[in-house]
Amino acid sequence: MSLLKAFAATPVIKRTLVLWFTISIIISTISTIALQQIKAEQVNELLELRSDLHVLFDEEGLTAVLEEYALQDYPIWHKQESDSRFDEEELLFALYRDSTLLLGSTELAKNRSTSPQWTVYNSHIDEPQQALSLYFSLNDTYALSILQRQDDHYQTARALVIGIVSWFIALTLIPIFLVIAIAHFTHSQRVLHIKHALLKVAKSPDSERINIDNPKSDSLTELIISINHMLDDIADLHKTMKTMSVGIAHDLKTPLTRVANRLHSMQQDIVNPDRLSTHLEKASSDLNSVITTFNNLVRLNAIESGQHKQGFKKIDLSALSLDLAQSYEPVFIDSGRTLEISIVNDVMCLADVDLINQLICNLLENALDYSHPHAHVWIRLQSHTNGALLQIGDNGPGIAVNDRAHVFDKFYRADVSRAKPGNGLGLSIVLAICTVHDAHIQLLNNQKGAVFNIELPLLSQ
Amino acid sequence: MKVLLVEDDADTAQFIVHGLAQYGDVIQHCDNAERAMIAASTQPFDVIIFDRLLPNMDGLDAVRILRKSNVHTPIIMLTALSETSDRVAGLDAGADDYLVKPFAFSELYARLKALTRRQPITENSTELSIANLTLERTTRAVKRDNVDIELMPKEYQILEYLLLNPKQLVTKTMLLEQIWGFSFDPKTSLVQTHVSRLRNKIDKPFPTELIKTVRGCGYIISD
Repeated sequence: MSLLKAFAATPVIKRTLVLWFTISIIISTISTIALQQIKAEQVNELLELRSDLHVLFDEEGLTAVLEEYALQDYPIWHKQESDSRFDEEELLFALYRDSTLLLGSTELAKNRSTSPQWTVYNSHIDEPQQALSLYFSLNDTYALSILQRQDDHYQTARALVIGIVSWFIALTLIPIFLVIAIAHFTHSQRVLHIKHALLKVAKSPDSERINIDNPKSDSLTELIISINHMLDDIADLHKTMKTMSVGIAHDLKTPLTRVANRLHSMQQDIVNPDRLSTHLEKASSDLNSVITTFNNLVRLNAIESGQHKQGFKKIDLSALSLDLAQSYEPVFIDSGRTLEISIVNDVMCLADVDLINQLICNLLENALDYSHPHAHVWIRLQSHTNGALLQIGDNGPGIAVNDRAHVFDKFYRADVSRAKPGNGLGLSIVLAICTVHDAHIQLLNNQKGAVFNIELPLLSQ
Repeated sequence: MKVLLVEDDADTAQFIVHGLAQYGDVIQHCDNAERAMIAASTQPFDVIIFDRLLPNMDGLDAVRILRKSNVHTPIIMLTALSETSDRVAGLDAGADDYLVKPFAFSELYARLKALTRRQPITENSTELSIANLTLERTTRAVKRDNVDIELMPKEYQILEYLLLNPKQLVTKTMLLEQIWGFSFDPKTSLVQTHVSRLRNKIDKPFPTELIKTVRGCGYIISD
């Protein structure tokens, strides 16, 4: 049943079924109206007959009425005679005087309705027949009861209508069931196709995807597209996890190996206090770098969880970035670089001060670590109608084209040797901070160096 | 110093007790909040080290109760929670400082010293000085040997903070928190650069050096 429901839900079948039901309902309504029309006509004719008989009775008396319907010959008709009369004449009469049967059929005693009424006449010759009965008084003494068989027109019309409707149903239901059967078959074939494809995906989740088997867009195609999207996302996530675990492993292995080596050296230098203290200092600095990596990971997770959103306040982005830029200026100068500061006043936004501090620090430090020794570095803040634009950039050497897509990936480092300081989390933290602030960060193309544009939503006044 | 340590983790507690004993400080250790609150309200301590995650009770609540019962001993909270919001919550509850685990002992000790030295007199005095160096807090004028010294805002703030904690170790992290308000550790030499510029102005032209570097830890200002 649920399967049938599911099929009824597929668009083609749904439309066909709706069309079919509509046509059926229209046909039956029209036929019913037509048949009622025929019945009503017979009623009218009977009423006319009644008034004709009244006129005849009033003008020419009872004899004329009796002559008209040849009632004198056999005064009283019993059941058998009534049946044959009804069969031949399609009409039975009964004349009453003071409610006593004077002439005509004995079978009409029950019919006392003074308006035309449909009843069933049980005949021995034929099967039960639909008939119209009417009882009326001719004057104070005489009353007449008439039973008229249903019109032949009606019978023919009814048979015709039933025939048409049955043929219609028969001829249309077969193709509909065929369509449903075919749809059912193709549907289960396609579900089977998805099932097989998914089994293949399970074996090689990175390369295998479900083929779209139907060029037209329907619910199953949409399902396949969604599943493929989901698989892509999961594959990306999986890849990130892999990069992360490799990154964590590498970033831990190096300092921990160094600590192990130090401990080994300490065993050898156990009698030399000067050397021992150097070893201790180096070992502790290596362990600190491990702690820093973990702190950054924890912080990255905290930022990504969005928990800072509750602490958002209105901040003066201009004052904050100017203060930071000025703090970093001597660091740039000491390293042989220059820092150009160009910040407009009074740019306000809704943000977490601590996170924005870190955002700017990380980008400035990135420029310090990865630009050439005499690079020109700049920090610019502008206000646009649709937001604040913060730009931090340098004039070289920039990020290689192949690395551009991955700069925000966790533990991704452009220098494979990992010779430079850092743990490949700086820009991931930057991206996470941007995301939590609904800001958009972009690494600009076609620049001599690494130039980051950050568009922050402005505080609506 | 007389220190009350509230810490349920035996290893951390031993690490702190051992470190403080080397400096000759008196230390009492409690491993649960109830006993710690009784000790804190009945005996005088110079400073309390309070772990935030204790069995049966949140350290924050314990600190809040202590403050309500008029115990004004400086408190430093230890915690594994490093977010700014946790820090703010700790300070709001009435703690005076907040240190994230894991930490170097020197970092903890520097902060304990800063807390016990924070006398109202030095906090509010308008003039700070050491040897022949003076810092006028109202006019922001700095002189050494009666020679006027021009300082940049950050250099001035660093010097002021060092002078508020004379002869005490002031760590890099303390300066980042106090001067820049950072709760994260930037990897470059931001603090070193500013301290070195400050030194070029107040120490280099003079025969004696006032700001000393403690390698890997921070700075001490002394005559």
